[in-house]
Amino acid sequence: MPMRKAGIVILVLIVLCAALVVVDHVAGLGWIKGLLTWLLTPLQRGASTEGPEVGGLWKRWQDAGRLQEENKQLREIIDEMTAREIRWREMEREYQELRQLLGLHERFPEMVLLDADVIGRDPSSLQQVLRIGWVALADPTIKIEVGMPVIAAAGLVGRIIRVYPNAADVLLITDTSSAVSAVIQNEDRPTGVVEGRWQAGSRLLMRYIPQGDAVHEGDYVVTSGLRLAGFEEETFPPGIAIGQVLHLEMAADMHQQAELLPVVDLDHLERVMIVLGTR
Amino acid sequence: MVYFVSILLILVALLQASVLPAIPYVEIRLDLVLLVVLAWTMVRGTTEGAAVAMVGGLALGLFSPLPLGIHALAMLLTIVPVGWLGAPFYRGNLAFPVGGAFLATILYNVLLLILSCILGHEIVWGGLLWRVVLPMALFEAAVMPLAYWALDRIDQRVHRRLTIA
Repeated sequence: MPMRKAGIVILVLIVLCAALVVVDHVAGLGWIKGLLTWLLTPLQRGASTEGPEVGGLWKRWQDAGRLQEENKQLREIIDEMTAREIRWREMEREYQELRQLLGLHERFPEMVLLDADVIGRDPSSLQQVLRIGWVALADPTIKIEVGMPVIAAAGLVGRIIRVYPNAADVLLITDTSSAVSAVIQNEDRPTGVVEGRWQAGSRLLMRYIPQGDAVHEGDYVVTSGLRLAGFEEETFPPGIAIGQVLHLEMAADMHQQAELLPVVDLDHLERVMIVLGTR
Repeated sequence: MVYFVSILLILVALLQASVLPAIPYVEIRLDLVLLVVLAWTMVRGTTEGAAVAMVGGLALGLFSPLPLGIHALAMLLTIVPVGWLGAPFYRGNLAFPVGGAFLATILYNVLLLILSCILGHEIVWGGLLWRVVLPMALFEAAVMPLAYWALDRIDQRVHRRLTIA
């Protein structure tokens, strides 16, 4: 194909893509993306369950390498036992996770919760976003909406930023565009705003803590339940654990600020719960 | 052949969004779709590269919270210099695909960040470039010889078969 013709083809494709971006951003192509996501979710759900399996195979390969040095004759038996053990550990972990999630219902009886599986992550790695999926909703009146909080057994995970027919994107609390009103669990109960810091190289930063309030390393930080300016459409229920204070410093704006360690292991989440509302 | 690579890219995007993040010990992410698109552009030229970039970008868009088309746009803008400027050098010298992959990965991610910034997303430039983009570019460059070799072999086999037929 002559270079000029190739140039025209590429130019047309670029214009087409730019138009697609603008239309999706302005008018929203949620229904097209929703339809395609709905078609792909079963595949993605299947693939995401293969992920740990791939990890399991990797671990098994490592184990086999070590066992080879010890005893070649027993390798096959040990391989089989290792595989069984991995499977058993997986089942035990799943059981513990389900128990914890069940405990969550008991800990927060006032919350209406919906179970969901983590089925993917932002493929570009530039944002801290999870994709979660759920099986068909038993109650047709249940509606998943943008802004709904997402929690795990240990604490707060993030909030929903985009909804598809049977899946949703969740912005993690560690993303720089996330902000949560929070309170430190100690005698002074200082309040502040927890902001994501993953893109800046750390995890969470609690800002605007009043100067005179006591804050100690190791203190737990929980949601305050207050609405933040600019985030009016979403509220996190009070009392959900966010993180633990790692260290404290004085900010340029004369407030205190604390670096936090999230209580939820956001890198290895498999199951979460969507907070649909309160009773 | 473009159809084959297109189907491959949809599966690769699925793998990238769902399986890769679940593998332990791998902190640095590899953009597999970008790798295939770049390797295919280096093997088959800009026009076919543009077609697979479009499909690959749209496939990534389905798994991403960003607007549909943003990955495709960044990928198309990336493969133009890769295809046109680098075309005379790729064959016979592995250093060019490796260097091309490194520079193209940085260009693609910077374009993606600029487009996200235009759409109103908050971008922490320094952190993202050092923490995500640079390690990813090094990783892509390291894996490129394998991807280039594999796609070159597939291309040679298919086109030889077509010539014989």
